[in-house]
Amino acid sequence: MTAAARAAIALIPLALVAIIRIAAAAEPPTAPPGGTCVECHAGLGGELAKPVEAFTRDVHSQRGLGCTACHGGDPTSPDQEVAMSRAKGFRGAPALRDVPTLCGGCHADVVFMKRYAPNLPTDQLARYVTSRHATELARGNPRAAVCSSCHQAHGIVSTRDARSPVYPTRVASTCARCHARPGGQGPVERWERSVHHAALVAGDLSAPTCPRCHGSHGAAPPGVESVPAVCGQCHPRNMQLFRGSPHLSAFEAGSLSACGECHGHHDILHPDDAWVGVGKGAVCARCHAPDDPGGEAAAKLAADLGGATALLRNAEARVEAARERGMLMTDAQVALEDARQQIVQARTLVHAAYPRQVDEQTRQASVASRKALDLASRAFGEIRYRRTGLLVALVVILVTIVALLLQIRVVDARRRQANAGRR
Amino acid sequence: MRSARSAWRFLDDRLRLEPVVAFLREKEVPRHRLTWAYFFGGLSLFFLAVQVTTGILLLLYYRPTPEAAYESVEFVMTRVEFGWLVRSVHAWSANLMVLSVVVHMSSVYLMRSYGRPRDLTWWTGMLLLAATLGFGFSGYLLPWNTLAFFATRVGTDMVGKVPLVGGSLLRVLRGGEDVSGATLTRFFGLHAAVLPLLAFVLLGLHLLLVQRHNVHVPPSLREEARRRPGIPFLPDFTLRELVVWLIGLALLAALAAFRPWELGARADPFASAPAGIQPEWYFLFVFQTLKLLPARILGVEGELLGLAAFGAAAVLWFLAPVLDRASRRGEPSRTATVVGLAVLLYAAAMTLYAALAGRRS
Repeated sequence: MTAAARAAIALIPLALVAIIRIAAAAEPPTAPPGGTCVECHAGLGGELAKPVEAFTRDVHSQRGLGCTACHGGDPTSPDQEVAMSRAKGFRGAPALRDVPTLCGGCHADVVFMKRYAPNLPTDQLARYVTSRHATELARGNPRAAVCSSCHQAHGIVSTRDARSPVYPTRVASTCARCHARPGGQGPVERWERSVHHAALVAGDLSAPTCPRCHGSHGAAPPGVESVPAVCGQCHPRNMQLFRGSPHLSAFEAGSLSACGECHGHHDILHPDDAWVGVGKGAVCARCHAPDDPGGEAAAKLAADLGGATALLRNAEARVEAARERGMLMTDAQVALEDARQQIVQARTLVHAAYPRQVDEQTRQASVASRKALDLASRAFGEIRYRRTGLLVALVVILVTIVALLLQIRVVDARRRQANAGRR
Repeated sequence: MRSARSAWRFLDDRLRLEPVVAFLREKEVPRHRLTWAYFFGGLSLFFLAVQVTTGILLLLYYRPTPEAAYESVEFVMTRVEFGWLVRSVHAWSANLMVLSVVVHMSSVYLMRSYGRPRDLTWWTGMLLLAATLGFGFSGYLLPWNTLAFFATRVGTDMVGKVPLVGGSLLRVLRGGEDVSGATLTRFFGLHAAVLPLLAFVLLGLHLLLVQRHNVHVPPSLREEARRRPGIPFLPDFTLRELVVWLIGLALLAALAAFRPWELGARADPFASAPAGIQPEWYFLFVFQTLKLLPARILGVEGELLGLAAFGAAAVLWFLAPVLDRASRRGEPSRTATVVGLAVLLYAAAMTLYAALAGRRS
């Protein structure tokens, strides 16, 4: 290799560094999205500076959109008269009634949104106009919710951001700002007593909050006819069974809320087997007398469920007792889990209101529970066998110890005699 | 009888055993009011023998991978004939062995039997104690259950706090950044190959030294030992030792039958650590002390300072034969006794406190 070639090779890294530096230097500096608006308002202090502070963490600001996107004006002019002149399109703070269309101007524009957030839906405005909030806005209600009521005006963050007021763990308190009622009887307070709230608190972010049932942008109370569809989003099997049950036509005829009639609306509690039947606390008894065919069917359902559940509890207690005595009960626990699943399915089948189906399912649950009971009995037998074995082993060990102690006495006595003889 | 005699002749011809037997027949164990303390060395040896036997049986089925470890132990406990007994005895014997070794060490310290020429015996004994704790720590992870997994994570975290080399040591021990399949393989290697080899060599040396120097009689008991005739090692002392071993065996059988060692739930590295997790009882006093220390002491991390203190204390304990000059001359030393009693009482009290705190949580 010639000296010239070696020099050329040595120059390659230098050239690369130079190219990178030149490329980096060629990048034009990005202007702050707020321009002169931010510069002036930050210095004003008080209420006029607050939007600036909030806007720094705003998702729009982070994507390069400035104040003028909503407020108009000229962010390049340092002169307030020019920057905030009507001639430059300055709109100031939008009126409440204009907020949905202002936001929708971009968020309903499919082509525009593709540039910033292609996966974000663009039907929010279309849904909003169908909402109760939009109806109230059209009526001139000054407290009607618009986009900024829930998302904030200047500190808007992604709905997937835990700081967002519409994040699953925060959305209920956002709704409660308007929908709370004195005495803890508002829909949000009642929801807070529900099984859905408990699931959310336990860390299940998919647990239903207000928008899951009412819709977010198209928020409205679900009508009687759409309740099964709402609940059926998460409980499709229950909905399907209910729609095939004799209850459907009866509920429709009586304008009764399909799921809510038995489960309640916002304070939906964990269902209990005692709800089925015609006894005290049973929801079936609200419509059925014990001696009408529906009441008899309800009593049969309650008896089947009660029997299978009692057998399962008994099996669980026996298996646990064996486990506490140190037995490995994996097979029995699998059987118990099977029984639990069968009972869950039987409870789901209650929505079909056909006792035969529930009867069949609870029989399968009982078979699994009996298998667990049988395994527990065998474990107790094994415990007895082990303890008997231990007793035998201990007796053998004890006899050996006694024999050894006797031998020690003999050896000691001989030793003493020998020592005395020597003396 | 005749065949036994010919077998003995066969062995004696080749191994020249007669002088060894003669030595043992001549050997006497001093008789005084603390003679019972001499039995704990032998009892530790008995538990070690149980460990080796049951460990080999467990090796026939155990598979050291995260996918199969838990299931293989479960298989042993549910499907293998007397597998439950072997596993329970192995686990209980491990704990009883630690207890017996700790009692043995405490009695040796308090009788100040570590003075020259028994200093080497003390050091090999201390190393055997370290190996025993290593056996316990590495063996605890092997069933790959939740408690073992998180206790190992907490335990190895402590190693990571050592200044300068902590991070490297942690990675060597875990085989990565966190407790994983690599840790399991390493711990298994340590438990079933490295430590047994080390313990075998140390034990051989320890037993040889014990036979060479015989047991030590503290100055306060010398008069009594002189007055009373010694216990001939063969067969008098051996018979008594056998009784102690049988009591140990009975205890093991009772514990295995009445309190079988639990397997718990399979380890899930992605699950959160169970509340109130604690290490094995013999590490509790260290764990509880570190828990009680403030986050920072004089600008230094509290835990780090605690670990440094325990490290220094272990080194001083190890160096007892060097530091306690009176022991070399066979003279009594109130300081050594007070220090020993204080250390042992502190460890016992802290262990009890941690156990009660663990039960409450």
